[in-house]
Amino acid sequence: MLISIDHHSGVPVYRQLMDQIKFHIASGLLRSGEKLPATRALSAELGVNPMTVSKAYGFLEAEGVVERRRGRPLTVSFLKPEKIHVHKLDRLKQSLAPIVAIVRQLGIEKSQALDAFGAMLDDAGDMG
Amino acid sequence: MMAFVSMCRLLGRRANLSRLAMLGFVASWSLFVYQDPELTLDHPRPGGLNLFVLATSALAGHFFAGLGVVELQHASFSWTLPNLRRRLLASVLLLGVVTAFLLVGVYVRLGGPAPWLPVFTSGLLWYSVGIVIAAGDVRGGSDRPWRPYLAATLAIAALFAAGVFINRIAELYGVQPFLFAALTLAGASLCLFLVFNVGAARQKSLVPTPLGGLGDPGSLERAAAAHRRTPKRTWRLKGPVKGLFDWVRAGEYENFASVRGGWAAGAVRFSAVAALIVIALPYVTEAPGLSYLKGLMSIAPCVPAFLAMGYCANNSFFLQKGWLYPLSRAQLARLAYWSSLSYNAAICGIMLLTFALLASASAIEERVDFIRPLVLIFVFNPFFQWLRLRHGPLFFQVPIAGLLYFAGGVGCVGLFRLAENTGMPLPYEAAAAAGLALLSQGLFRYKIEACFRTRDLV
Amino acid sequence: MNHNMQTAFEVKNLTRLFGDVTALDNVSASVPKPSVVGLIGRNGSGKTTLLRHVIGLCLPTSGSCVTLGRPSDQLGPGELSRIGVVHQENRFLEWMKVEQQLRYVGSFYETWDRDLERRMLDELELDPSARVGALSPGKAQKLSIMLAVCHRPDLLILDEPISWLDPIARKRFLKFLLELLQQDANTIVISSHVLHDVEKIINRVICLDRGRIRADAPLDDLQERFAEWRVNVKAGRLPPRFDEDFVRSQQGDSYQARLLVEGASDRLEAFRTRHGVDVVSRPLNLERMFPLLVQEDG
Repeated sequence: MLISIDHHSGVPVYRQLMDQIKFHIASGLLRSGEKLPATRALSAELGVNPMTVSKAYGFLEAEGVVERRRGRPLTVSFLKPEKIHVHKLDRLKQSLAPIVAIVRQLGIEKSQALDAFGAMLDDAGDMG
Repeated sequence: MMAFVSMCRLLGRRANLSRLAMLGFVASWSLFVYQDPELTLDHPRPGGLNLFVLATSALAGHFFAGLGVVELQHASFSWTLPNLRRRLLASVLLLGVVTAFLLVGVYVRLGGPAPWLPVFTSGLLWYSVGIVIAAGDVRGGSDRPWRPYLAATLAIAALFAAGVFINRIAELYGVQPFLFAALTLAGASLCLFLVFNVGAARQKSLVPTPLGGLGDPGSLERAAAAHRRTPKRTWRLKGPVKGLFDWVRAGEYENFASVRGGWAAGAVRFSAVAALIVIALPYVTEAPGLSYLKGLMSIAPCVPAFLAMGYCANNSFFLQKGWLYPLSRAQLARLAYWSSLSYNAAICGIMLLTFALLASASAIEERVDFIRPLVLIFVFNPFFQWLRLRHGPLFFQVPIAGLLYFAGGVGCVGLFRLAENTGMPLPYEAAAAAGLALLSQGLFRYKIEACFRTRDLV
Repeated sequence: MNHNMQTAFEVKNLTRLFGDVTALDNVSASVPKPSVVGLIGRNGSGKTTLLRHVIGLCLPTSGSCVTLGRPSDQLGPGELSRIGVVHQENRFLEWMKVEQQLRYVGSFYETWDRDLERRMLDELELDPSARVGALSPGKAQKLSIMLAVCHRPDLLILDEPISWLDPIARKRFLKFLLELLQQDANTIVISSHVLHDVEKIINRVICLDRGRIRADAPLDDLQERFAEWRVNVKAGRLPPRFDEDFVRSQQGDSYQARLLVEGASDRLEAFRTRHGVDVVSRPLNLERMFPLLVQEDG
């Protein structure tokens, strides 16, 4: 699991952690039942405050994304495919918001924007 | 103008009050005391008068003009100020002329034998010598640490020789007034050139190194010291430092581990010199032509008192200020008290021993009393240790310190005289001394405790 | 319940005057344990004075300060040996060698960690046989950090600890701090105006300005409270000024504007519809947030 933290983006570090862990779950890199690194290990690896890591884990637990059983490491919860799908879409929307603003600003028609987006998706697919 | 104004500002500082006190003391001492013992205060003799001009102008040059010049000339900003050197020189000259003029006025008024012109120019000369001494003190730098010592030694030797021979020289003034005026003026010019030439002005030895803070006046000296000193002892105590005794040891280590031989060797050296001065005095005054020095005998008990007081006041076993030692404020207060008491006791012990050894070796008849002045250390030193705690190592610049120092020394003599004249029996005298010592120690302890309870420790 | 267990130090209505100058003006703050606090503020804002009160070197004119469960003027050996301090200016015995200085200060503490000392010497590239008085400012700072850290204090006070360090040394230093945090769960207070480095490690911010507390909150909260809004007009023109009370500063023209806003995340939609604009909200880092924190209200 590769996580990169930008300390100067202004986004709270615990949010960056949550977002990236959720992203990895949504992309299938982290499967349900898989162990997450221990708080100390992760904080040492990323060079962030251990309290921040446990805060992120705490929120993830509260959201039901991960779960902790007594005396065992934190693991990814079992999530229904529909729920994962919702996660994915949320994530996409989040990333698209600034794009939408640019489209507006440049005064590009909706259809043209969609075409461009579609074409790029096709290209990326060809590459893959 | 700017330089003159800055000079005046420097002169007007509070620190100069204690220098002024010292100047006054030396001036009156050379006028009234430093003379044939049978003379009265109303009729000062030529010997004292000649010395008065010399000593007063040299001290004025050193403490007023010299230290001010050094501060202005060797600060980092001064190099870039236009014409600072020239203007400083002008104001220093003005101050010198005024001082010499006033001194000559006193000299003539009290019936000094030499013609006024050479006395005036010699006043200028000694004033300039004072400035050179002050400048020599700071021109060491880390690469030439011996320079201040050399300058100080030369200066003291010169002043001492001049003090001894001044009356002969003053006789010559009368024989060849114009030649000596020219000679002394030339000497004064040479001295001023030494201080005010471009090369000297370029040396910025007062600029603090980044090692110490700007606000730390001792940093320069300590930085230079760090380069040349090697710790002579390593800290032996392995385990955690606990208890009063361990902490006194720690303080002793902090203060003295960098000195060869530690505090004891320094004290032995110092008391040997002090004892020699006191022991040699009767012999010196016997020498032909030096009989006017006999006046010194009258204040002989003062000398060990002054020396010991000064030596004890300037140090202590107490820890350096400002670290966060794992000690509560109450513990620090207790430690501060016991550190300085034990330091005073240790120094006094060493002095007594050295004095006794040297005195018995010299086998003189006219014994100078060492025990009484040393007992008084325990009466007077708490005040200095207190000032040292409150104002740091440069506490002697606090006006009250200088006054107290001289009052202590002179008061010492007064007390002895009193005891002698009234024929007080020894037990009473001892009881009185012990009472005074207890009183002042108690006051000291009380003040220390109040200080550590209520003040910032930075 | 047990006060001692929850807070590293607590300052209540602390006022400190130096003559006529008010260095600290009715300051109240409480630092939970464990935490890493960034004490930020401009030059002369009272950071050092506050820290000196916390460790008991200074005494308040009025108000109180309790450190490790004890009034700070009554701190004893027990508490003081659980505190480590890096002073703003280095204080050493200049004539010592580095190893002698470490040995000497180490003997004050029962908990001195020889192993940590060795590792730090190694990683911070300090020569143990170097004369302390001849160290460069950066190395001197490393030494004073070591002297503050090697007894593994519960409360570590760092007053401008990294101002002289080069970027690599800063990184290693922060790494050591993280390590300390992980092993001992202690409290660290870093006063600094190098916000860039501090931001990586702190989880709480206390902001002082002219002796007053301007902010005392978790860093995350502050980051969520402040934001930059880029406003683009959809049709027509933007108003000359946005008069919403959450707008702390604004610049721009009649088509575009950049607003710095405080506590406005839930009012974004209302703002959009009211002015008929597009808004992209971006978070602020500590450095950009700082002017807003010390700005006078209103």
